[in-house]
Amino acid sequence: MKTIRSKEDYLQSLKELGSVIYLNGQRVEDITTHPAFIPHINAAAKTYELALRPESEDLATAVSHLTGKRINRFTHIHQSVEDLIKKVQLLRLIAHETGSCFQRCVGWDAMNATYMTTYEIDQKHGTSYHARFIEYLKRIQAENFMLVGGMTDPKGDRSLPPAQQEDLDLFTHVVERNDQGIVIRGAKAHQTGGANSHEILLMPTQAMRPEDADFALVAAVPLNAPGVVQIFGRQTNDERKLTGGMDAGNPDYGLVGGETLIVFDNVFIPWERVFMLGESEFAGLLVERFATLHRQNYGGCKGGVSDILVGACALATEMQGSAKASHVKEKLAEMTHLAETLYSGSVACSAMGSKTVSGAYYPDPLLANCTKHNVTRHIYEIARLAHDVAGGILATMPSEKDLNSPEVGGYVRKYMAGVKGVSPENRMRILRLIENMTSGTALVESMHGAGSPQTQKVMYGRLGKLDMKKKMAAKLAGIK
Amino acid sequence: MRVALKFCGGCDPGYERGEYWQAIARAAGPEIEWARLEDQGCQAVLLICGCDTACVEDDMPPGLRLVCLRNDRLPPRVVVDILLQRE
Ligand SMILES: Cc1cc2nc3c(=O)[nH]c(=O)nc-3n(C[C@H](O)[C@H](O)[C@H](O)COP(=O)(O)OP(=O)(O)OC[C@H]3O[C@@H](n4cnc5c(N)ncnc54)[C@H](O)[C@@H]3O)c2cc1C
Repeated sequence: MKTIRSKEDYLQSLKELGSVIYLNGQRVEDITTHPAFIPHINAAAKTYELALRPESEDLATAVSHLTGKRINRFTHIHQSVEDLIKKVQLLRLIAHETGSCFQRCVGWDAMNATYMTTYEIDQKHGTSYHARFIEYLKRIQAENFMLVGGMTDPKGDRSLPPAQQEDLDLFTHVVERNDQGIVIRGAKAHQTGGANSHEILLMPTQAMRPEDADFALVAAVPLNAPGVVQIFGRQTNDERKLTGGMDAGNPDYGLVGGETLIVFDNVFIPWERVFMLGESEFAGLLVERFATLHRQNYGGCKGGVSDILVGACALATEMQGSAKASHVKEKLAEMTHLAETLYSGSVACSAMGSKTVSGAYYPDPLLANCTKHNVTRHIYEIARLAHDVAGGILATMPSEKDLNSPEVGGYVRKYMAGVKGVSPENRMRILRLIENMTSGTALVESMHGAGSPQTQKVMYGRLGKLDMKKKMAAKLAGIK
Repeated sequence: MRVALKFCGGCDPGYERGEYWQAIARAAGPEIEWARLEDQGCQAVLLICGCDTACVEDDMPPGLRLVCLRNDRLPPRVVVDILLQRE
């Protein structure tokens, strides 16, 4: 693939890729010109654009430890605590530019988790996964393509392990091995940026037992490989993207990542793209590492998105004449406090990060889990406060077409008036942005993206050093 | 005078760093030739940071005179005078 540098290169690469993508039961031939996909493509394109801008290159680029060349940071393996912090800063910056999900962090985290874990698999088993992965990574860094982080399987009956599912395909698995490579079948659900990525890095969805060896798979697959089919997920109010304009809320960058169900219908993968197969005892470690790296992010991106929401609410209340009310000021301050708390968690787990045996740096897992757990709460509370100060109009506002209608446009303008001198259209625009950022899909992403809250809570039992806490308490209480 | 221009990454800047630099460049006119940090022959570095943390300040090349801005409080003309050592 030609190296992707600019947004134009990125769009061209997606046109040439020709992945099989379905939306509403129809095949979409060119997603780069389809309004359901354009906002998500614009958001992901920011990861390329910011690397070319002097004002952001310090965060958006890094120096490869493999080649010494300057690369897009989204293809970098973290080499220091400073790198971990810059990752979080970069996510906040792009969230400020897009007010949405820019998708590329998932593949980045998959890359870092695979880098660390393949090193350790090779140490134990004498395999050569790490060297293989380094060759693949050099290609990613040189060509700067976008990778999906493919962890979540559909999982069927959650009470059963993979090998006991009625339909084994509910967890992605190997169905054939030969001297050229392997053939896999299954699917990955909720794949962020799937439609507008080039390749997927598959990882196991959970810890595996020896009998689940065929499911303990890490491998890279081009998204245009034969047998790969993507089905684009629906989102809250997604038909508004088709008409564009103000009603879409955030018309240029959309809402959440644009997720697909990616089906692998007997897909061939050559051995050089297989980075783990059957070493089931490493599946849990890989999942934990990916989860920690991904949970690290959420105070960066969701902190940044919340900054936009705070700004939007401040503008809305100014337009509506409620900005000076003490409870409104207090609520905006509370939103700021919650957003900065999220950000501090991400910075803290990065600052307390450490070096793995592979040389790559890894955030503090306990603090990263706390950060994501806070996101599952604070984003809902921030949205609740936004709904409070914005008013019921968020749920009942006339459309842009009504605003521009010769028959009723006058009424809409008259009754959407706020403070004297404020344009009703601008008031409607900011309210639509708030609606977009606080509704359905946006909230669910904060709940389940990077793992449901229970998966963070189980880490507290493991990492929370309860024995030490008991000892400290007993000592102070004088218990011998 | 040749001055290397460098921005911090801009994770959460308190002002529009790009606009501030443009105002400084306008105030400098032809007196300053702007270059990148990697370019040869610079006499100073203008580092424009978005906040007091000034993340990249410690990474600046030791041999060059560093002017580090953390906010946009100084009038652009004054920044130019500092760069040209006309304080
Ligand atoms: C917007 C969005 C983007 C995402 N992007 C990606 C992506 O890019 N890549 C990727 O790989 N994944 C992605 N995910 C998937 C995400 O990691 C999962 O949604 C998450 O891990 C939860 O899995 P699930 O959705 O299958 O929910 P479930 O596992 O069905 O969870 C629902 C509830 O059931 C509970 N539960 C489930 N199983 C058990 C059990 N065995 N015992 C007890 N309780 C159980 C959970 O704790 C939770 O409370 C994304 C998700 C969203 C919403």
